[in-house]
Amino acid sequence: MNGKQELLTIENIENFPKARLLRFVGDLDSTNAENMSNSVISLLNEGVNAVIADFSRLRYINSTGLGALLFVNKKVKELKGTFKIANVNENVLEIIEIIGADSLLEIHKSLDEALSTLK
Amino acid sequence: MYIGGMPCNQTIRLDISSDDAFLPCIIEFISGSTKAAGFSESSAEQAGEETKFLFSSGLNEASGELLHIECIYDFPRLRISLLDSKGNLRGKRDVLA
Amino acid sequence: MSPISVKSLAEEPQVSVLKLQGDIGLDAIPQIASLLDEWLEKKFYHWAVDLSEVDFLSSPAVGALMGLRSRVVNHLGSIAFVSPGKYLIEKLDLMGVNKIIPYYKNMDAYLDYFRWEFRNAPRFLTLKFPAEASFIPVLRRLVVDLLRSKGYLPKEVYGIELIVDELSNNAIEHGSPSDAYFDFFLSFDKKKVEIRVVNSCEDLSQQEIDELSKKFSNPTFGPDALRGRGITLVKLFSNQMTFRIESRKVEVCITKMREGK
Repeated sequence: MNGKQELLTIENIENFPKARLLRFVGDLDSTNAENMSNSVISLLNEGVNAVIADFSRLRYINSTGLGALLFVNKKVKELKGTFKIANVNENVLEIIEIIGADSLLEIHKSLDEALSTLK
Repeated sequence: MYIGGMPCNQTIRLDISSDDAFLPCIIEFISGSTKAAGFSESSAEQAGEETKFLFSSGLNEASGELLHIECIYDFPRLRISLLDSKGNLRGKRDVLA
Repeated sequence: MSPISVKSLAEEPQVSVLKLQGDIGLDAIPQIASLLDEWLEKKFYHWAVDLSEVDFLSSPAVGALMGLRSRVVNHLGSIAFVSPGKYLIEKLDLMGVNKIIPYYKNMDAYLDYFRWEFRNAPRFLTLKFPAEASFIPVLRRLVVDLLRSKGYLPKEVYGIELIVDELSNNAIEHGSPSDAYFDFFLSFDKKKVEIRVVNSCEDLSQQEIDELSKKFSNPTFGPDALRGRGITLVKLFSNQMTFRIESRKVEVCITKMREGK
């Protein structure tokens, strides 16, 4: 969409060549959810098996965004990988919890905590 | 024909309560819609400015009255029209992409 | 002594207009105090202080008006300044009075505030817009901005933004709008928000109507489902959701009450 900021940037994680850090910015909604999941699937196809999502700058999520998160979570797990989410703000967390998705997603209070669980 | 994900020749009609507090919201909305319609960032900014100009004409509507705004997207032109609560055209401004 | 008068506001008889003119010095205080006592005894607790013709407002006069505020607030009343000039605004801001007593550029603006605060006067938005997903964030932003401009807090607005998003996306994805437009209605006051989304569609069969009705009444989704959570979220974040499905039209309405109001 013209002028819309990029939803996520992808970074390598030191000492973990098969892991990637995804930093989300702004809103995860129907305009970008599919692109997001395609980006993650591309990473999985390249051999990445650990994905950490930093939500510290993610303001908002809707049901489509949540569906995309659960989809990538499922795909990562099918490959015996891990998908972790860190720094979820209270509004986004409320949506995740109210829909019962917190039992399916691995959520960490901080990025450090999420990174420390990487094997 | 699609420009930026939105078909050309689209019209947005907005009826909104007359309230001074709403003007910045309306300006932002029209600017945002213009971007969503596939116009450039500078055109979107100009759309916001033109909207501000339309409202600066001193509508003097009582609170509770409804104002009518119409945005006609006909690439490369956007026409913004403002009508008062009685349906009288109070002004129109064009933005060219 | 400068003219000082009080009269009821014609448009809102519950409001008393204290009109001050010229220089309001120490000598004006007894007259102001006497008038205020008289009107407060008659239980007039909403005050608009017309400063449009005031050249100078002394500190004791400001003090008297602050005293009025203390008295009316105890009775759930209010006080506001109307049409203060530039000099007065600077003085009031310097004294920090603007943080305690609001001011409005004219009587219309004051009435707007009064009716919103004390008459629950609603605000309306009607929008006819293209059924395009790229447009939804702009609509969300508009609703959020309108509500925030009238004092709704970010936390209150977040759920409403989600409702707007889900209902609009639902209409685009499932409504099959036949003329590629939607109608969006928003009505809100100090206490509640009402939203209605209407879309037209191709002729729905009775079976399709029944399936849609079921979807709205009892939304379900599996853990792996990509879709289906939208209506559930709408129901969870609103106080009431109703819908009407006809062969060529789908309409969904929600009401969201502000907590504690």
